[in-house]
Amino acid sequence: MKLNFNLKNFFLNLLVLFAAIIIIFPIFWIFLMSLKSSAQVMEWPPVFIFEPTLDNYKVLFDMSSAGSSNYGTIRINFFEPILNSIIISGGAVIVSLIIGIPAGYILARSNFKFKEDIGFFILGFRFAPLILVIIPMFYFFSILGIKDTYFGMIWVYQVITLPMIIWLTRVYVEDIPIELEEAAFVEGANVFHVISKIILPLLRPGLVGASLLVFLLAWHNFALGLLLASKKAPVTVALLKLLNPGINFYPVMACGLVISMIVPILLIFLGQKHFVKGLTFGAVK
Amino acid sequence: MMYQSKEKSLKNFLILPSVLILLCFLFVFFYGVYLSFTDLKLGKPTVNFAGLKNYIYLWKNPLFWKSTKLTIYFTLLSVVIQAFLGVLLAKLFSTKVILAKIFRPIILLPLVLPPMSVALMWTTMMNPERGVLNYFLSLLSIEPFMWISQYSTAMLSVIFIDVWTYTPFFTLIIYAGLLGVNQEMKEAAQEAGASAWTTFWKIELPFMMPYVLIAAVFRIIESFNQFDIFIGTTGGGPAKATTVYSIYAYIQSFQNLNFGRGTAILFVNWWLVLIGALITIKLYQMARKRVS
Amino acid sequence: MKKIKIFFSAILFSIISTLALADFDWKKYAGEKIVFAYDIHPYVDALVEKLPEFEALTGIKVDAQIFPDDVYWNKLNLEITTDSGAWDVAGTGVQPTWDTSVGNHNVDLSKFLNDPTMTSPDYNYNDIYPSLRSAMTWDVKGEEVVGNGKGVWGLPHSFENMNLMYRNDILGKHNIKPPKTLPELTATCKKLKQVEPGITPMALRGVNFWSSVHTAPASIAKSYGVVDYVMKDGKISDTGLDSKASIKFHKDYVAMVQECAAKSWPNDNWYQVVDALTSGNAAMAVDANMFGFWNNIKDPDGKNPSGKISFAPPPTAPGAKNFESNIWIWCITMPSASKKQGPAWYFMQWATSQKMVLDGAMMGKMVNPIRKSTWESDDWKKYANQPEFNNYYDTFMEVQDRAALFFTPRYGFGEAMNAWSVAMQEMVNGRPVEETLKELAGSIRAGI
Repeated sequence: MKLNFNLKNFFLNLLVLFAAIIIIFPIFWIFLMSLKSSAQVMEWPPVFIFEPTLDNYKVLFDMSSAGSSNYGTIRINFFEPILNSIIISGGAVIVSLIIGIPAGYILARSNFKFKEDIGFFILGFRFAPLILVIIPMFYFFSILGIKDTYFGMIWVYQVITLPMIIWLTRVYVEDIPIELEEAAFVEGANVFHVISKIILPLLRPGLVGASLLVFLLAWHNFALGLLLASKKAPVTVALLKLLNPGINFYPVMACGLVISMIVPILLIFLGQKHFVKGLTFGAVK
Repeated sequence: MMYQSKEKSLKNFLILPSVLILLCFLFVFFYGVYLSFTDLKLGKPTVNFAGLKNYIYLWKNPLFWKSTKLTIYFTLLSVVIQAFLGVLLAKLFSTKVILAKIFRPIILLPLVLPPMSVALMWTTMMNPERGVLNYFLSLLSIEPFMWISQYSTAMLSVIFIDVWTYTPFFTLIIYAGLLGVNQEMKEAAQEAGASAWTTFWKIELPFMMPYVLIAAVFRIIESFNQFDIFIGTTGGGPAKATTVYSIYAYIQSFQNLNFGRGTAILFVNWWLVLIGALITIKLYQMARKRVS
Repeated sequence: MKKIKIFFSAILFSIISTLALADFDWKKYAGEKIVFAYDIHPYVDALVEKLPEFEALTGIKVDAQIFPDDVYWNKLNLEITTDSGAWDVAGTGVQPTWDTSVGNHNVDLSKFLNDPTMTSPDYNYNDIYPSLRSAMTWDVKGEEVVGNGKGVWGLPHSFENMNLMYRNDILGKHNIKPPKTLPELTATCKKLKQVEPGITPMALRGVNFWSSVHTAPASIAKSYGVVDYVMKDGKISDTGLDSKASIKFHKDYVAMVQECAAKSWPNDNWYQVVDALTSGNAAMAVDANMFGFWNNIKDPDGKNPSGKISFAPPPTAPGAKNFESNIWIWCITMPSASKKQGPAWYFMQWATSQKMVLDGAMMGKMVNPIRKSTWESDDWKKYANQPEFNNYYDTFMEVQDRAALFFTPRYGFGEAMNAWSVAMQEMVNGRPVEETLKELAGSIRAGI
């Protein structure tokens, strides 16, 4: 009996290790690339053990702060875009949480006539690809004067973040037994009270996960930032500026990627402790 | 009773802000659709109403039909593989073995790399002669794979990147759902003598299905619209092997300057997304009913 | 008496010429602010570094907005064709400007060039190489672009001509001489594969966009007698891409790609070419010559392949009398929607003035310089002939005589030429040359 148990666990551990390697490897490889010299990047066989160099990071910082000699005096302005990404993606998620959680709750609990249609309508905003709407969007933003503003960007990012927050909230709320809320309503609590004091705590792991996911997807976005912003463009746009013919772009881009990864990775590790404590809805009973 | 229904109808207005914020973009959408019925060419001063001309052109164009097949193929395959792997990974990382606990935080890592930014890195990794992926294959005595450099393997390679990047999306949503699976029900079943497999199949999987399906809805929408990965690696090639709708529309709009035609393609795409999402949502509602 | 006459004439002349020079008011627009947009490039590095000089000269403040390469074109197209007015000066290329000039989205600069109150007398427009000036000059008739016209739609800022670049260390090691014709190039690759199996013989762009045909194929095809369009009465009447000459060229070129290029060719863009040549993973390339220049620059840490890249004219058809070279011009244009056209023009003439072009070249950034006078100046001659640049200067001078724009001006230039690059991919993949070219020409004909 004891032998069986160990074997099964050993096998599972192996599987986990295998999955972890596949998941991490590209990120690890990019990190290695940032420490390589230009010639080593495409060497065959690929180099895993080599003398690392911080030169590429130096180039990145030089380009960011200007004043360097070899690589141009133009500021690539790399750190400001990271800030832009944080503000735009983070701001978009926060706005979506504030207006989306109540909306998701309504979708889960209420039963008015056009509920499913509205739910579908909200979802429908993700259906359209950007190019379909980019010219009208361009005019729209120009006329309103919100091109290249945080306000405009956070607003347009709602198309990415809001539907997902609403629908994920709906799905998680539907899993919560309704008895708790009904009891609270009978006692005369209003809906805000119910949402904040009862639903939110139960939703926390799911919501943290959903917020993280939605934040990362917003972080990914490239086209909106390129076309609707200039100075407020996110880091996905700035990263491509590293494709400058005057420098060793492969390793320097890898450096840029590594640095831009720091904020999302931090958020993931900060948020993941909410998953560790397995909250079972069964405990609600 | 009266008090309750008034309270009920008032609280429904909570959904209003969301609807309003998104409503503005509705007009932009209609304008975009209108453009598909014109002969708008970027740069040319005159724009005329053209009726169904763009759509007729597409209907007659073999590249359009090829693009349709590619788009559907890409979406179906990616989403199904991601769903399957997502369930697997969620189960795997929720077990109690020590490595699962240690490595749990890394599930979301692929999502920190925006496809557009990382595309160039993928092309170096997928280089047929010098790429590190082929190096690993060679260690296993497998022939070098052509990845994105050959017509026959390009689409699979893009699917590979998509699956690697977005499986965490499924994994996380399912995992959060798994946390809610009724522990008592599971233990009761096991005590009644059910094997681990039956417990999984009859109890856990049905509970996971709503989550799998809602994640699938979002992934289907995004896969039908996937652009970044394609433009960053293959640009629709080689020889049109990966020219899905979004790329086809991009080429028409920005390279051939035929914006009217480009938006027409995307409107067709919109319908595909609509149908796909509708089907999946219906499935979601069925799975939800089954669980309750 | 004669002496006094001469004396007074001399004085009169110097007074008048001083007045004439003094007549040009650089400070006319002092206090204005303009927005200048460009793609990330060493060219604009040079301009930005010298902006304080411009501001001191004119009192105009410049907000330089730089965007990522490749995707810059999409943003440029949107900004200019929607007449957003966000930019006063935009960096662009010749071909994209064909598309935007048709809707009157760009200002015809000849009105400024011919106005002595707007253009400084020492600007010397004709000092810019003739093939560059003519590439930027055409007429807009209705919704079509007609070459050899009078409208000046942009000022050349810096440009590339196509050279055969090669690693002199790799070729030198085996005593291989740079090939002169396309079939010779293929033979050289075969030899290289035998003696240096770990190296790709040729770095080539293959991506399905016209940027991969405008480097090597356009330059070499021209020497086979290939034309993109056949003209009749000054209008485009047919395409030349399925002519006998074109078939012959493509057969040779496809054979070369199959023999010489890396397996990743269908997705290779300029960055893969530059990286391969610089790192020594490829031995040769036919591409923009300043890539070789930039990677020859001696860098203090000695990590660049300084001095290892040499230059030669592009390969030709067998038995051809001359080699040919295509050009790509980075130019600056003025969107019509700009509300600051005066200050914008001041910036444009400063950015392309003799002083700026020489300064930019001496920084090693604005390469290749657009003006004849720059290439004849002692400073630039000395700089460009330093040992690490090998024969860059001489090869440029040799090639420049034959360097001209291969493409015929046309609105919607991209559609046909992108199709050409896709056809190239199909042919390299094994599809018969004649059949593919017939289909390509057919689809282009349908649009003429």
